[in-house]
Amino acid sequence: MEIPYTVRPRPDTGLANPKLGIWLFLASEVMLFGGLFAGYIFMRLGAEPWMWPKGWLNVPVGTFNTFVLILSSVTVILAWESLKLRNLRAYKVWLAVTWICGLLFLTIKLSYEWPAKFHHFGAYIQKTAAEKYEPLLGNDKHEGKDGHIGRKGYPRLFIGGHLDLENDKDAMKASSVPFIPEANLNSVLALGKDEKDPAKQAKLFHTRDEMLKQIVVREADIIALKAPDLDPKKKAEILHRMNTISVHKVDAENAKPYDPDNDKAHFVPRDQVLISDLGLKDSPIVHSVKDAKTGKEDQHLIIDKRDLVAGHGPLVPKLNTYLATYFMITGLHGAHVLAGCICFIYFWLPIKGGSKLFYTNPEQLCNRIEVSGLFWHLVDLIWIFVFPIFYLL
Amino acid sequence: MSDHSTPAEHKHDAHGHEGHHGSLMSHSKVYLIIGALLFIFTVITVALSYIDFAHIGIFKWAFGLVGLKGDGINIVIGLIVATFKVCLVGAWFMHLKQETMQIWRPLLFTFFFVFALFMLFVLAYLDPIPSSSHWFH
Repeated sequence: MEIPYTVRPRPDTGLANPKLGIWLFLASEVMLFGGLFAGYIFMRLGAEPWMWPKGWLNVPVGTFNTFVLILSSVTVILAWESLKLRNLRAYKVWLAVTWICGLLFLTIKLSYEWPAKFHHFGAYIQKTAAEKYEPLLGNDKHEGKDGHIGRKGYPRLFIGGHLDLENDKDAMKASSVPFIPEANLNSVLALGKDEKDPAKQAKLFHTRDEMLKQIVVREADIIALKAPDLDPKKKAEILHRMNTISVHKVDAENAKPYDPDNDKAHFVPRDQVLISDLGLKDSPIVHSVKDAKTGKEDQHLIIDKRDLVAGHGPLVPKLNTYLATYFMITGLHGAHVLAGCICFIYFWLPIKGGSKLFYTNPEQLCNRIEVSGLFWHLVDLIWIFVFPIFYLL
Repeated sequence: MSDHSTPAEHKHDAHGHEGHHGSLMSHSKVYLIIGALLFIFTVITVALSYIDFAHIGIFKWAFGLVGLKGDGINIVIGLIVATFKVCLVGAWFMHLKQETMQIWRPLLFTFFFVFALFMLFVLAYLDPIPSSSHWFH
């Protein structure tokens, strides 16, 4: 089928159809992201200042990604201009740079920025339990500077850090499982125990196993709990493991609470501080843990899950509104970058709809690059807002 | 295709629009300049975020007049720079500078409604029920 007015302007609109079409699409895209940004504004203004995290994203990496996107915005327009001048070779070079930049942007996001969040751990301590963690939070001696939002009058309650993922591969799951009282564990273990009907018992046992899988982290612990002659000591040990989080490095922001330089907005990724370097040896919340590989004694911070606000675990969208909006907006933006790359690679390849079109209808290829280029500029434009609001401010 | 025509014809068309070769060449220079400006303003945005404007008297006073304090000052300054960068991209890279009313008309509607969306938060301050809004009190 021949589509009219792909290149020449329609007499009634004065525009070629693709041009008008892409602008209407871009207008709807602006509304889509506008709605998300409006949601961000509400959540940010509604959050307690000390609850809105700062410095969780890597600014140098984000700045580099911004440069990559700006560069690709320049090269896509140079590719379009090369086509206007009927220079196929220059077009292919500039467009290749464009989609390589797009893929580089995505690679950085997918291989470093997003996954890094999943290896972190964060939790909000309940106000009633803050005293126990005071050596780390430092609210007793800390005085915020006047006029500086966020600190004075607001207690530090957030502990962030790294789990010992090298030695404890279940640590990530353990950090996200909620606190389970002993009575609840007992009632799960009692499922099907006294059931006489074998069919019903099998069903109940199945339910019990499923529930244990949800709340008990280690495979070995599940087997131990199901044993008929369960030693109460062993059970207490497993319960303790279920209901505490073992952290071996903490984020410096909380770890050095008495450092006056610490009391300002941070824009670089937080340094990690080893628990053993904090001089908390006799504190009840610090325990010595033997490293499974080296056999060396290591200090771990043991956080009781009862002391935490319900949402805790890796830095994933459910932890707080900052992460929810961050993943939502950068994720959708990333999907747009991917879509742009797919279009550009299609127009770049020597196929009928791609660069071979140059020989039959170069002006149409030119239009394709103009229209996809407009989309690409919008993607760049959205990033220009995303970068400061999530990385810098 | 209804648009079928020889490359030579199109070449002519393109030139009719853009003038002669020379002016097309100078266009790429403009794009490079805008690109360079975007780089520079990205650096400026990052640099500004390290400055704590709430601690600088003149900024504290000026933004205080409109009820902003603390991080709010940095955010507004950062967004002003971002808006300026967005205008550069829109005007030159997206050619909005020379676009006809056919394109501008739907866009003006969009700008209006997006601006309305961004300003919706003001309603939160008109709420008779006290809320946890800290930035304006």
